[in-house]
Amino acid sequence: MRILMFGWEFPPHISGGLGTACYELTRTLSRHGNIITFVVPRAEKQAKKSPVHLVAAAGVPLPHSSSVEEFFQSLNLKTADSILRPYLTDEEYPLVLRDATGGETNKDQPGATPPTSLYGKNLMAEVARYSEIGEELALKEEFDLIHAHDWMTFLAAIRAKRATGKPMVAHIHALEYDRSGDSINGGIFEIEKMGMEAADHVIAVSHYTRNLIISHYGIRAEKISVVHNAVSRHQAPRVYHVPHDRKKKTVLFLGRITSQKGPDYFIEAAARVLEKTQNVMFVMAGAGDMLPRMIERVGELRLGMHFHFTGFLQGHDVERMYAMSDLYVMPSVSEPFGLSPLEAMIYDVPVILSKQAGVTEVMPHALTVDFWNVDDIANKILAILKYPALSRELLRNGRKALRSIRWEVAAERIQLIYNKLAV
Amino acid sequence: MPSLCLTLTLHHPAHLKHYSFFDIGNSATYEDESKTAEAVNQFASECVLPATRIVLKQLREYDGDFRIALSISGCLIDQFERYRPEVIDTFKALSDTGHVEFLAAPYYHSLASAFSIQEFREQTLLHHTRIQALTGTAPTAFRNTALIYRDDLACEVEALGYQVMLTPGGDRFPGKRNVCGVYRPTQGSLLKLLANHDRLSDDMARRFTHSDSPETPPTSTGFARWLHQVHPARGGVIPLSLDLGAFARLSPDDTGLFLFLNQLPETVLLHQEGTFITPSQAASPRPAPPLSSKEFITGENPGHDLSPWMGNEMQQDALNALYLLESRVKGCPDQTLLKTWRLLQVSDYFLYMNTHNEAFPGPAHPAMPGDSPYDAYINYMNILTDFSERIPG
Repeated sequence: MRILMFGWEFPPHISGGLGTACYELTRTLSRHGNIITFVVPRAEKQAKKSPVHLVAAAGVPLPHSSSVEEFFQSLNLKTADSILRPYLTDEEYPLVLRDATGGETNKDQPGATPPTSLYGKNLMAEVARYSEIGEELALKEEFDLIHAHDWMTFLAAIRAKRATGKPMVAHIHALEYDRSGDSINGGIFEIEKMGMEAADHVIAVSHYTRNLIISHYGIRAEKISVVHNAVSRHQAPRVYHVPHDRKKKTVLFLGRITSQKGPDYFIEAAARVLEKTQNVMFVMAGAGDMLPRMIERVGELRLGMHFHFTGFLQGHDVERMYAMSDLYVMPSVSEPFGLSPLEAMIYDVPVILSKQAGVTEVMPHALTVDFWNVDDIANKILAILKYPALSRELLRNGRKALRSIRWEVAAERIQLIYNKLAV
Repeated sequence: MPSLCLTLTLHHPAHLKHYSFFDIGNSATYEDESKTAEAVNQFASECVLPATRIVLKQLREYDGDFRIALSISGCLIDQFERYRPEVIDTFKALSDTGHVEFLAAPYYHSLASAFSIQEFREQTLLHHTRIQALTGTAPTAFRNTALIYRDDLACEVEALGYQVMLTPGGDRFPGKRNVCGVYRPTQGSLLKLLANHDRLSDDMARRFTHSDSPETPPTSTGFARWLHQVHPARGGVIPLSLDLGAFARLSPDDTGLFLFLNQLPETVLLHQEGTFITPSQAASPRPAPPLSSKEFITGENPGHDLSPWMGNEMQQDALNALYLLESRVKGCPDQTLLKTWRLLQVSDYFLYMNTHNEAFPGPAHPAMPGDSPYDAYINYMNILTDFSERIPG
């Protein structure tokens, strides 16, 4: 089957789980004989090797770019300017834009620099522009089905569907509800809703997300399938011989330091743990708008001696960080899936997960907590530190469970959905 | 049609309270008494009382043609005494008919037989005394927790003065198949072994508790037919265990069990040679071929061994930590510590730490707080840590 797939990022340039998931899904779907054209907003010269035909939207000529403003207004996105993309805040966007349009890494390769003029002033404008490209591409490309990943691509997919009449799949990796809780951005919410309504089928990464889609977006339950994310074997660890003080245990938080991920609950739980034992080091790895406040809070609580902030980690540093840790804690307020706990388990690190995380549906061998229940998080951290049989049992069973959490399984499910739609 | 030797087993664990790491050193209360009371009351009203009343009526009506055995854990007797004394009266009434044999067992439904023979003896003696006080008769038959058996336990049981010991059957003894009826341990002793008809016992439990089963609930007519098919020869004994606790989780309007119990005597006795006997009667002179197992076997799990209670590291850790405290606890004059230690031995707590349960993931058993076997272990270890800190010395 020929698939026109709209995404927002692709390895190695990723800011979260979305890029990884898109890479793995296209890789495994290609094995099923699908020919996938994957559209991303920017040219990624060093894109990870994959069987996918990667199309940069930045390279598509726009005959009527004047309509951006018009389109933008027709959506009635009043507050849209404030949120630019799922993982970034306003202040961060100019940095990303600079990188994408030829930052320092591209100095030696002038050819890799995409034309700056093609970018919208802000990301919502870019989203709107991307949607026009969606239509242009749809008219040029031969394909049987449209598959769009998350809200940034939905307008493009809708326009492609309108232009060609081909069936459309909306794939939900994260919702505005997850990112922003009760203070949601109405514009993004509208795009999400519109995309799911226009889609012939919706894929949610967990039952947790599916339930939110039904309850908050009013989408018919029959239209939504759950396809869980997975973790792949080639993400298996290199062997890190990390000097490890066995007496002093390391408890890790790794993720964007934003309210969605619950870093504040991690710190409060750490304070409770340190009332009972001093042989523990807490590491908060990642960056985000809450970081300064978190550093401040650690100071207030006088936990500095037992707390370490690494800043944003990438690639090998992430792997090394997992390898150094004795426990991974994910106290997310709302987590549609949450790949990182599975990665942690690949590194033989037991995990404590928020019950409000889709990943708990595929990983029963984890301790689960209500993110707001700081005492219970502390209780479970202490249990891991004090009762070694607990970690061993969690990991022994977790390793077995991980074997069946494969992207191939996800691809098979998606293939069934494709087959039903493209008859 | 053979003789049916039916044992109804009754046990219910005390509900442990949610016990956090932060409670260690601050709270010596481990049981959620209101939850225990609620569960025991429900168990009594919806299962034990109606079931025993039916049995009582039939025992009186059939006056000696219908007989059964009862195996009730000591901790459950304590709970009934405290929360529902009328159940104790029913037990007494059952005993007064003279057609019910009460079996001895480890008092706390524990795994002591696998961890401490001394403790096993003491708990059996405790239970023996309790049953004797309740019924006025000293038990002569013994049923271990979950029918756990090993050759050396047979010696212990005989040394404790029992004439018969209930054991698993079927293919659970190494090298044997279709074991069922009256046997003896290989070493020369007078003790008789009464091997359970495992498949029929499992079937019964399944048909009552699994609504997807083809014959749900089983009818006593169908049951009598099975019995006849199993052992058409005259003179055989079919020992069967039926766990009433399993029905506590059924919905109140599920009357299959009661209907079954109500019709059972009539349908079995209708068959030629169909009779009811108790374990001690079954053990009276009969040919008894030898049986042996050098390893622990049990009648209550498909894996045959003790793995449901001690198959993973958490279970082993908890059990080892618990039984390591024995000498400290017994070296201390404080009897409440001893009682608490024994209450913590209830085997159910370790069963909830089993991560291989088909039903997992799902809510853990209501008698343990938390959502998973891991939570059950954490809670238990927090309690045990506190408890061990309270033992002097």
